[in-house]
Amino acid sequence: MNTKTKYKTLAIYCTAVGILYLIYGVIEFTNGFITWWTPSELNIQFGVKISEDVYIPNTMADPFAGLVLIIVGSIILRTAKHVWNENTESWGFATVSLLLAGAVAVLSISIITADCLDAYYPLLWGGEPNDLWNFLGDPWSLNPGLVLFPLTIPLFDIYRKAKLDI
Amino acid sequence: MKMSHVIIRYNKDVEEAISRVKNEIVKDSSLSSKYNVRWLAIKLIENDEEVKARIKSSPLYDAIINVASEERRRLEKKYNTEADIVLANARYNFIGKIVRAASKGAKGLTFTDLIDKVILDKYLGIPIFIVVLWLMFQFTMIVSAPFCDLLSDLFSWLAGMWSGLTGNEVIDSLLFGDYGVLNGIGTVLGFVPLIFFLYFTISILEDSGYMARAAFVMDRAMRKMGLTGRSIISMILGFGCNVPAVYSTRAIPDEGDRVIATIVNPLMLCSARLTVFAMLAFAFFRNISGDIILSLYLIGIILALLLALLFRRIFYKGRISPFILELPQYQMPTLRSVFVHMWERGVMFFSKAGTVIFGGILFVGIFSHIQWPTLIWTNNIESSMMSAFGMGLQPIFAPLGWDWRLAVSAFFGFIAKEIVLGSMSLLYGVPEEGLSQALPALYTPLQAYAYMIFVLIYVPCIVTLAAIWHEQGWKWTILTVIYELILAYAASWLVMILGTLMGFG
Repeated sequence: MNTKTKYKTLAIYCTAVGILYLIYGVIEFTNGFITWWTPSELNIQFGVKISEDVYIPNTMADPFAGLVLIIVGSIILRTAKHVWNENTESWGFATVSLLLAGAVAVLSISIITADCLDAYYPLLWGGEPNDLWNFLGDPWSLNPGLVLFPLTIPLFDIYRKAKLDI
Repeated sequence: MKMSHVIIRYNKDVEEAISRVKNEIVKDSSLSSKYNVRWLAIKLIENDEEVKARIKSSPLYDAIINVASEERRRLEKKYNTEADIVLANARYNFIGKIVRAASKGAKGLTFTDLIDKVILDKYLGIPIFIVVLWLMFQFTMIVSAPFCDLLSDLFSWLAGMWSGLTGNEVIDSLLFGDYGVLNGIGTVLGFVPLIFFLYFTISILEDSGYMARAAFVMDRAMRKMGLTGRSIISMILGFGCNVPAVYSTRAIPDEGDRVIATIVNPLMLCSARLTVFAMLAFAFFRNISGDIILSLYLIGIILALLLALLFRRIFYKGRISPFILELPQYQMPTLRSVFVHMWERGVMFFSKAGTVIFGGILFVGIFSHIQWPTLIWTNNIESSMMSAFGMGLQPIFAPLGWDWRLAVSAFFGFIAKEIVLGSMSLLYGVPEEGLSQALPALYTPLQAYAYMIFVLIYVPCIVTLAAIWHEQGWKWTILTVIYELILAYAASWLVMILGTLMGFG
């Protein structure tokens, strides 16, 4: 594949990933907005059902988390535009996209670990667990911010290639 | 060696302005012989007070200043920003051209330049700042939770173990009883991990170079609201503690900007208030506690901006001083420096807990054990002096749905905000973990949120008030206390009304 075709392919891929972030962001925002700020509840899911109430990805009802995914998605879409035009700016956008998407994923893993610790730390002195925690039952375990992150890894290719030009 | 003199050529509008001012200056030969006329013209367009003072003796002073002012206004109208910013931008563009011509690679752009194109983007800058704040508070609130719970359990265990230690019933109930001081101080100290997590994330942001960018990004929004971007530095410092934040406003040269930045600073959610909100958010909004805290930070920032706009319109009409900030290069923070910064700041919390907070909680504890009006020692808190005092306050807060305990806790928060938390624990007679169960049985999430809004806005702690007094005098200190009390009550009441109308009552 020549360089031009590779850039175009990468741009299309970035667009797809950016749109996925936007879709899940809008769903989380809508679920959260309705559930938090109106008397009704909403739980729209747009993923593969693996058990009762568990999907991959599992969207939460959280307007702020939704907003964060929308912003990350917007930056990935701007990256796609710059990659398509083969601008040097694509490097900065790809780096910031990777950093933010990565930070959301790291936060999710940290929270899952903290939830697990919070449930079981009394076992340290032989006490009863505070809660019965399980991976699938944790709202953060399959959240879109964590599940979509691996899809952003090809953006590292833009980072790596453009870095050589600087 | 022959030195060549480089003249920075500005755009057509600026060059025309310089030319018109130069034409006026050359009419006074004493000025043109003493100074470089182009330099003088530029400085007068920039409204440089020092240069204006130097040419004051010129017989053509008024005419020159009039032309310079006219040209400055023309540039400001055309570029919708201060003339000195227009000139500074032109100089930086000139420097950029030299750097690009002299360096190899993609347009001579560095790692920092390319990242800044995104971070400082006109449309993405503020959304990215919001994402960073969200990440910071989710991490601080939720990830610190098991460590806070562990410490809280430890203090409950200590209180149980030390019960009866002194052999004196009075001292024992005061120190280790359900309504004892250890209960209160333990609840506050239980949040030490939260403070360390907060300072850990703040240190990463500072060491990486992002904090300076946050100031730059916020400058655009803040200028529209009547605050200079310089105040964002003090506002961000206010997230840690309002006292150094108030003193940091000294760096703002313009008096109006400085006063406004000082009196709105207490609206920044400091780490002391964070401990109170963390407990209430955990108790009432467990899974979304990070979002609740973020909403309080955003409300604090928005209120500070709106009040700055209001105060500027009332007290200091006129131009806002420009904000020029040299942005550092991005750096990968080292774990060692992050931990050192975290430790230095976090350890201050311990010393505060051992002095002011302990003293405040001890005061509340003693008067919660003295019966009113007989003044004899009692373990029945409902008949204590503190209860009588709280009952006196309670009617004021009845529309907000508070009982006397919440009123007393908020009242003593003026000494130090952590005392709100310690007093609550002491007055409800339960440690932090018990508080998380006791409060939701007494109050709705809406009442809890309205209480948090009140504590966010009402009077800052006594040390912050002293700092405001020291920096700006008693008039501005009194204004700060009055506006914050009125605003806190109104905002809290509004939350109750709107929440009830929306069906959260």
